[in-house]
Amino acid sequence: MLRMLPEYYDYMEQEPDSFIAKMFGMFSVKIDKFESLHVMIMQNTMPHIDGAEMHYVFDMKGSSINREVLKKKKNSELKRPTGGRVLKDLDYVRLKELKNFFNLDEDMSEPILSQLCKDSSFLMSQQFMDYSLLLGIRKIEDGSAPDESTKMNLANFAINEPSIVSEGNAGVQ
Amino acid sequence: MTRKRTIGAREDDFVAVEYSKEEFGTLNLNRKVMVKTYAPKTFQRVRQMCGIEDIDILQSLDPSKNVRPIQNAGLGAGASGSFFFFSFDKKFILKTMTETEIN
Repeated sequence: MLRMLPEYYDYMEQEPDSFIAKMFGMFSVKIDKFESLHVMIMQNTMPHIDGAEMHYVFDMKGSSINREVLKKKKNSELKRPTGGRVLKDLDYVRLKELKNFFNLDEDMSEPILSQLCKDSSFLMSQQFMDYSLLLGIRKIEDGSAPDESTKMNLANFAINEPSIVSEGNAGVQ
Repeated sequence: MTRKRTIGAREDDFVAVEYSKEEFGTLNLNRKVMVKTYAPKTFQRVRQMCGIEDIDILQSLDPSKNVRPIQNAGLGAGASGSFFFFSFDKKFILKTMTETEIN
């Protein structure tokens, strides 16, 4: 992490709206003769808006292999929001059909997509390979709109899973 | 291409460490606690960019308020198998790292 910190810092300055998780500090704590404990403090990318949990949370990697949590559930069992349980790509594909989560017009989706492209290019340039997009969906209970209003909270969860391809070695650390 | 750096995040800060050695306040554990802060200015700048004050982190990570989150902490959902928990107010995540991940 320290090795990529200059690039990370520059990127965060250039791209203040980046979805990449913000890192707020890194510390080592040593108590007496015990081994040092290393910790990182970071932003929770999935905040509780007004104290309420997201109704759905998806961890998406853009893959369909081994990316289904609710495999054994029948459609009829999927009426209730899944709350804190983190779902994956294929669950999203399935629930999207059932729930009609949201529709974004191009004015809204274009800036999001363009930021995500920049973010993933940056992560690629830093040789990160294990990261995902965390998508939270919360239905806003104002009762006014007949279609589901949803609030999006997108976050690239990259730094949470810092697996870097080590130099000269294809293995994941 | 030349790189532009702003004040507060000097080149040499990226590897800077700050040590503090003190008895642990009111806890009186009678233990020597040493804290190493990596790249203090850089992270402070990141916190500033996000409007996070040091007091926010101190309050959110107050040990007495985080007993439950720590007890319920997930043992590494990720490949790293690290220990992490959400602060009681859900603002921050604290996770452990290996020495390799630090560097």
